[in-house]
Amino acid sequence: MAADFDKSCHALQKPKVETYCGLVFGTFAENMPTLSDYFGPEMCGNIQRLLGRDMELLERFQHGLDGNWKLYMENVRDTYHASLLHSFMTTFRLGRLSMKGAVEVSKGGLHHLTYSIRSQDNDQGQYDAKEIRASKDDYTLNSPELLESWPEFECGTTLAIQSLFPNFSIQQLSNVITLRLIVPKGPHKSELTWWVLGAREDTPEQRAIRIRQSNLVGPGGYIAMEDGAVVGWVRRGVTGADDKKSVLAMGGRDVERISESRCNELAVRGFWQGWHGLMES
Amino acid sequence: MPDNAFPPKTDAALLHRIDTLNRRYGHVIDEDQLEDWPTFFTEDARYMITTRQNHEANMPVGLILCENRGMMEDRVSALRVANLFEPHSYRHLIDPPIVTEQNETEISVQTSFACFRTVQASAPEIFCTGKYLDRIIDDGQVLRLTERIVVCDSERIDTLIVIPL
Ligand SMILES: [Fe+2]
Repeated sequence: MAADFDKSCHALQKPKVETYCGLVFGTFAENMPTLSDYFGPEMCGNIQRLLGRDMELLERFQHGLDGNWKLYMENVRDTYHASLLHSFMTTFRLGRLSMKGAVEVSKGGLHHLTYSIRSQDNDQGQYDAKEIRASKDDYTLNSPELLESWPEFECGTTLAIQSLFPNFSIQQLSNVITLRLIVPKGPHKSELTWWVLGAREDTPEQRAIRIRQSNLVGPGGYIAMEDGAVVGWVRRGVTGADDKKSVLAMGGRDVERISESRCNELAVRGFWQGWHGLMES
Repeated sequence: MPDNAFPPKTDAALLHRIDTLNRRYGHVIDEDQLEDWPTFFTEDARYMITTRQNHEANMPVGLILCENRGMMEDRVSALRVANLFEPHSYRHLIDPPIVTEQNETEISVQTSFACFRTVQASAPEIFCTGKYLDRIIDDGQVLRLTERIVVCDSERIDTLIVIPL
């Protein structure tokens, strides 16, 4: 080695690493705030609720997607598509369309949380009006035990979808708890890693319920497989229209922090406003 | 002789029956006769699609997990009436079976397979290679799967998996 070669000037780039509820986050940004400041109190509350206990890994796999990573993160934040795209629940008459819930967006719009509570229908009229979407003939499941669940959380939350900017998502669907990390593989390809988790405190019955219910999520999941496909459909739909745009502005232009209605675009708007802010700075 | 060699006593007629079961199994899937797919299994059979990594680490969750025939029938009806996906078909190539264990009630079998997927007008692609780990029951007339664990070699699944492997 040359005498004047200074190894400290040629070291590997060191990320800043911080752990939160067992999750390890890294960044190359030098002036990054701490994780709890970056996420904000609302986002931290949900992470602690789901993962602030001893967890167990039940499965991990990779899922190739045929589109840009932002299309998937937009899908995660979109509250409309579930009843339109994932017709498993409505076809088999398994879910109420109206449930108590809210959308929360972190300050600046970067992160979001959508949640709902199944057993408290707050608007029977809204459900009846949508009855047409919930009644495709008379399909029933041979093995409805697929959807057996137990009330795991005191707050009653049965669905929670959270995105943490830029590329991470934590989701609770009944008793299935998953982590998803999306990594770009070029402008038109991305790859999702899924982790399905249980809690060490689970009884054998609760563990069995989680394992059975996990049929709902992942690339073969009854109410998730369409998300794998729709990323590619959107990519193909917009290819060749780079100079064109179309805008939907349900619920205005701002990014309110909390909305009791989940029928809005707060979280999507928050993502894009946050993303543009960062890309321009 | 290594442990994983063919057990010496496997009878050629039995191997042929298992091979026929596997070929018919691949046939009904590839020919879109999916309503017949659950009939290859016993009523309380277990069907699981997992990956080599998850299988070797004893992970209990599958990409698809059916704990009885009813859950397999539900997979088929959901595919027919509920789930949205681009039309596609499979082509299975299934190796001859290897009997790994045999007792009075059950036969354990391992079989390699490759599955090509063709999505609409696209070229066929290798969707999955892997092995079937089976437990088979012989009632003297019919062989039925009481467990089939589909172990995919790769931990990566492209886009979605809705048709069983
Ligand atoms: Fe979705």
